[in-house]
Amino acid sequence: MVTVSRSIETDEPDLISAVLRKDRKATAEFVSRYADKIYSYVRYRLIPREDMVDDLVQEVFLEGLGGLKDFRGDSKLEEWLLGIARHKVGDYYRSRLREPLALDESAESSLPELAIESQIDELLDRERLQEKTSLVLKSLPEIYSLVLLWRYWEKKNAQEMAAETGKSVKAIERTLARARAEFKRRWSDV
Amino acid sequence: MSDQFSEDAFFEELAAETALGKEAHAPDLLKDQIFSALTGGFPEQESFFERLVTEAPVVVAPPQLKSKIYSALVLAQAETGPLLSLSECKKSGRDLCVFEELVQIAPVGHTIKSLNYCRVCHARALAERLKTAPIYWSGCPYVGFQNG
Repeated sequence: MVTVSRSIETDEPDLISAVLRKDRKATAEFVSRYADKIYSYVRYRLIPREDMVDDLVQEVFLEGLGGLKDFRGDSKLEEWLLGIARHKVGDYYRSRLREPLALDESAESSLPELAIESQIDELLDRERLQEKTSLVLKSLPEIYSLVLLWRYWEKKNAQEMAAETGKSVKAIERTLARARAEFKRRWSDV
Repeated sequence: MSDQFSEDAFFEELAAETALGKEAHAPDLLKDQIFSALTGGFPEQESFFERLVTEAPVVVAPPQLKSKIYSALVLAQAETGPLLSLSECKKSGRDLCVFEELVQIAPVGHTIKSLNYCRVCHARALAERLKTAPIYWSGCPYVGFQNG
């Protein structure tokens, strides 16, 4: 039988100060307390690139640890870490969409076949909605998923996306339109 | 309104509906519209403008990932100077594992008690690779990750 380790639940400021004093047990609590939330966020935002999730979550924690001494406590630590995660995800969107052929129409020729099991007929609650959305986003070409996630889940508008990727607003809007149409098609098919 | 317009609103609502870490707040009418879209295709109504903000389920991170993150963080801490000694950790009320206890009671200096023992422990190697690692002693952070 596995013995459960007793741990004390520390207040946030105490936890931060203990981590900064390099108390390894506090560091473990830091991971335990925030990993699920950060992981959930990153996993959802990187639906088309699940292979990158673990590395990115680890980077968030390492950057968080490095910046902890400057944390002023203006927000909850969880929100602060989510902010770091948001930047990391944004960096990935930017770098991916900046690639020369990222928004090219040739992306359409590589549309994978629908790989979605048609087992989701009774999607009537929120959990199912989440599941269906994830399923459709995951099935889309990566660029389409990324533009939709960036535009709607991260609330960036086309102008901002264009400015941050060096693409024209028209190119972004065109890709968004294609992504919406493809999402719609797959949404109806599952 | 154009089809593009209602599609745009639909995605905004869908994003809000499946957002993480937001407070639950979902007008029933709009919720019904979202849910009806599940079986009836995309909605065409303009009322999708209003925000639906609800809590999405938080997924539990795999214990192997938590283990790797912990190892990386402690390694990073150890690289910039000694860790807090095991005696100090114990004084602050935290459990030590059986191996750390031995080091902690041994007649050795602070430097020895401040080393990163997890780095050379087989529990780390197991926990970073196995979802259910066979680690059977208390006070080990990796056991904590295994138990959620």
